[in-house]
Amino acid sequence: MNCQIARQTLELFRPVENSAANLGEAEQHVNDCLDCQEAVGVRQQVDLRIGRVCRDVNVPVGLKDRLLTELAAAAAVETSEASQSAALVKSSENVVSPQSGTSVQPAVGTRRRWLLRSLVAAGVALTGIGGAWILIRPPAPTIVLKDVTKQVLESAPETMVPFQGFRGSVALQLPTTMDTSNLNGAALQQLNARDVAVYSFTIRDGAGRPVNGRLIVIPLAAVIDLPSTTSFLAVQPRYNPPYCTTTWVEKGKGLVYVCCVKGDEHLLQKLLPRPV
Amino acid sequence: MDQSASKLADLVERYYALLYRYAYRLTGCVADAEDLTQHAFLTAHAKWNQLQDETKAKSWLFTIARNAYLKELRGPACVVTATLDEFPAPAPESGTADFDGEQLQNVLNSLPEEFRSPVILFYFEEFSYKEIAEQMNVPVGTIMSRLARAKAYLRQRLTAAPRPAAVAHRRPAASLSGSGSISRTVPHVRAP
Repeated sequence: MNCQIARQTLELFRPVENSAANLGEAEQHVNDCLDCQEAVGVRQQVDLRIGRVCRDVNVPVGLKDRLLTELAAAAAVETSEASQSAALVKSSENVVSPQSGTSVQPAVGTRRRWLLRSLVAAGVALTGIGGAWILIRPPAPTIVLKDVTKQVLESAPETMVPFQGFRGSVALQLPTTMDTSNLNGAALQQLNARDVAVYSFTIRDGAGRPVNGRLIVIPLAAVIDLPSTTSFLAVQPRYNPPYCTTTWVEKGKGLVYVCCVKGDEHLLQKLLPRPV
Repeated sequence: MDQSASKLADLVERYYALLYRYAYRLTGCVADAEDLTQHAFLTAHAKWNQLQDETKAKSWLFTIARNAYLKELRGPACVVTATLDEFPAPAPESGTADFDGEQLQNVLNSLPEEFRSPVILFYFEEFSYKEIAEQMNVPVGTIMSRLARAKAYLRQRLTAAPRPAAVAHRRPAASLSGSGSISRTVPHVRAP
């Protein structure tokens, strides 16, 4: 190994790094070469001096505090911007230009979006309310009492089925102001798309001949022309030959009663409650 | 964000003085060095998510500072061109090592940045060759070559030459590159 290679090898040797492959050979050369010993010695002294002077830089007083202050300010600004950006994004989400893919005029977009959402919400609410009203609203009354007698008495008995009960909360109850001991079982009949309960009964006229009659029980809500009477035969029965009919409402039952016989009002009087 | 701010504050505590000294030796100017140090930490704050290995935070900070120096502080007006012909002949390795910080800074200022940065980092004794090479983004062999030449240049200028005049550092320095011309900075020098 010559002097140049030995000095170059030692030049970049650092104890912390195994960077010199031929360090042992170079050290041996330097030990044997007075010129290299002098040169390497001078070089080491100069390097030590350069290192000390290079590191000897006065740091300005307060620099650390200024740096920390600047960083804190930057963090505060970033946090503020992040929160503003989050609020902006939250308020302008989906308001995106189809061409550019960037948010466009968030304030205007927000107003439009608010209006659109309000309209949609109102529409949904109205639809819901309307639907619910359709589902829960009581059906409109469809039955005219003056026509009931003819409709029921002219219907064929074989078309009727046993009555099971009214739809909704109305319960079938017999009148208390009329003698119901002669009533047969109730049958269901549809009048103007509404269910009514029809009882048949038979009474005897003065000659002892059987006379058929009907007691029709109708939910109050299904009747258009509600009667003002509240008991059987409280007023003069209506006689439309050959039928005699009386109608009344009994308080607390929610039902309209129609009693009719093929005959005059004297036959109806046979249906007055018997004294106990 | 609080965690990164805390870690960055810890980095400030540990490395602000070292980074400032490097910035000063790099720029030769107190004001520029302070600006560069602040810029490096603010950039680190802004790009904290890009730091993949926190054990390399020190090297990362120094890389940021150097990149900022190259990008922000080295303006076109400061760039001069020197040729290989201006490089003085090597001096014998003899003489006395009697120089102060200003003289060292003058000689450092005369070095092109690609030689100045590694030699500063070498004398700081804070980074391995590999770490210096990574900061400079060049192979380790290139760094060792540049270091050998830069160290020889410093020794030659600081031991053989007489005490330089006050304006000597403004003279364009010789190129240490292999051939052709190079661009380098001539920053304004103030006392630290």
